[in-house]
Amino acid sequence: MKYRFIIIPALLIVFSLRLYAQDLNWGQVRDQQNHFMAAKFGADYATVMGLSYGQRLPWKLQTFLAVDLSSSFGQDLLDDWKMRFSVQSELWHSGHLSLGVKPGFIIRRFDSNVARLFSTGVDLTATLGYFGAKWTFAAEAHYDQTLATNVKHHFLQENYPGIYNGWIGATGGNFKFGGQVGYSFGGNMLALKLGKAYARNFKDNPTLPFYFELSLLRAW
Amino acid sequence: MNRLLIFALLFSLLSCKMEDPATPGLLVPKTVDQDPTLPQLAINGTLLHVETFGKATDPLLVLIHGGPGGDYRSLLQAKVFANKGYFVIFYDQRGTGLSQRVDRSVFAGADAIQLMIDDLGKLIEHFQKVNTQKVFLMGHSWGAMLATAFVNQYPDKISGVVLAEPGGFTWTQTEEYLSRSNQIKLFSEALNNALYPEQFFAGRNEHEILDYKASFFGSFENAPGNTIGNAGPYPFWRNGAVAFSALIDNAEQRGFDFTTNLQQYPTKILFLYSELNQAYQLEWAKTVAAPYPKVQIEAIKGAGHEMLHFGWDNVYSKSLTYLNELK
Repeated sequence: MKYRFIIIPALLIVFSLRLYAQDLNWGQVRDQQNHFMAAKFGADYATVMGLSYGQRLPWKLQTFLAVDLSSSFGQDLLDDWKMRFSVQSELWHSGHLSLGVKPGFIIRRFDSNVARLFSTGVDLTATLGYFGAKWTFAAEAHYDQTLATNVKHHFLQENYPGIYNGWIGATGGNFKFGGQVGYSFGGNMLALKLGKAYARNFKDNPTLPFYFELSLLRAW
Repeated sequence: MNRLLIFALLFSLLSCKMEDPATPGLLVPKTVDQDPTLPQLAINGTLLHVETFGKATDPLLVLIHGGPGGDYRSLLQAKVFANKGYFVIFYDQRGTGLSQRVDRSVFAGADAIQLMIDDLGKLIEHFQKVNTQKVFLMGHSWGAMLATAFVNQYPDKISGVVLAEPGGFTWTQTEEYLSRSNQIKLFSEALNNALYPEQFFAGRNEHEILDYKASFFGSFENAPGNTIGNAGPYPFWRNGAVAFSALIDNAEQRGFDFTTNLQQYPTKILFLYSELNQAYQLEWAKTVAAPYPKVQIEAIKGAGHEMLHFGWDNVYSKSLTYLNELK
């Protein structure tokens, strides 16, 4: 039963491989590097840190298959995490201007004394900007939609014995709008992202209303 | 054709039964309008979750819970006052706990706090058999602020008040307290446990989902090492997320001052603060209580802000002595 929530979104991504985008500096990696790895630190609903790895796909379109893993700070680093499988691709470029999209499939987990949440979702990031050999300036828009969430309650179960444990349907979606600046040197890129986060109805917005990410990427 | 079959298959798989998180009773208990077996009272245009204990002709003791947006479940030990000759009344405030949910717009106007004062007034009117039947208020946190707002407006109607750590009696004072009590450590487990779940639940307006999400946020104040000295989580029915958020927004926009007429209240009040709440302490208790002409300040040893739950024995003995003096 639970595998359905993983397999179906993965299939949807495979079927939609004509889209794609990036966090990469395409001006730097275009036709040259086949792998990248990145370490990041930032704020994404909570304070987080993470690692990414990507590998070029042998297609005409500049495309990398990537996996990101991030975890929230705190005493227990492994209780809350997000894993994203994405396909980054450059849809269009003209000179140093570039447009890309990045569809992804997300698995995330949260655990505390209140409850454990395990969720599947899909997201899409679009990036448009200047990607030079050294500098990157880009705007980005992102949407993240939960598909299904499995809940298992701890304190909430004691508090309300009739509470439901199991799978629940889509519990919402989030938008992010922001920008990024990057500086490339050698096979590395240092990048800073900054922007605003919104709930999909633009009302029930997150307590931490912004996101930011400082990352160091190495391509080879 | 093959694509059509694949999409049909995917659609059928996706449409398999999964519970809707907004279903009443699924993730948060049903409210009085959804479950008619719950004790309830229609009052002042809304349906409140109300319970009483004791003899109806005894002096009234109204318990007023905190929040805003909390409920009275953690105050239930106070029903023992019924054995000491008090008619004990518990109620979940408008839009909170097991009381009927109300739209955010109800708390948006200039009279939002007045509405809460009026609800309390109507509740007292409903249970007071004769004008000579004494009425006592016992409020915790925001409930102590609301009790003071009522005394400020109707000093002649109240025979005594027990106040447990009201944040402040003006919005400026309350903001000052909140800035101390909600100390934020960006990289702490406590803060991330409160914020991280927000990405799972975002942009659905149903109150059931907002209330459920608030359960995670509420864990912040009870996490190990919390500033306000709570020993851990305490029982509740439902976090009234909309009531909480709307009343805080209202206070930020309009402010309040519950002290304008307190000098007219001649009766001694009992003011409790907790030993373990690092954000409160004696100095702040003296500052907040100052507008009352006669004040008895007492410390509740070994407990934090949720002293009516974690420090009940101490609260009970001091409160009973005070109330019996005025009974």
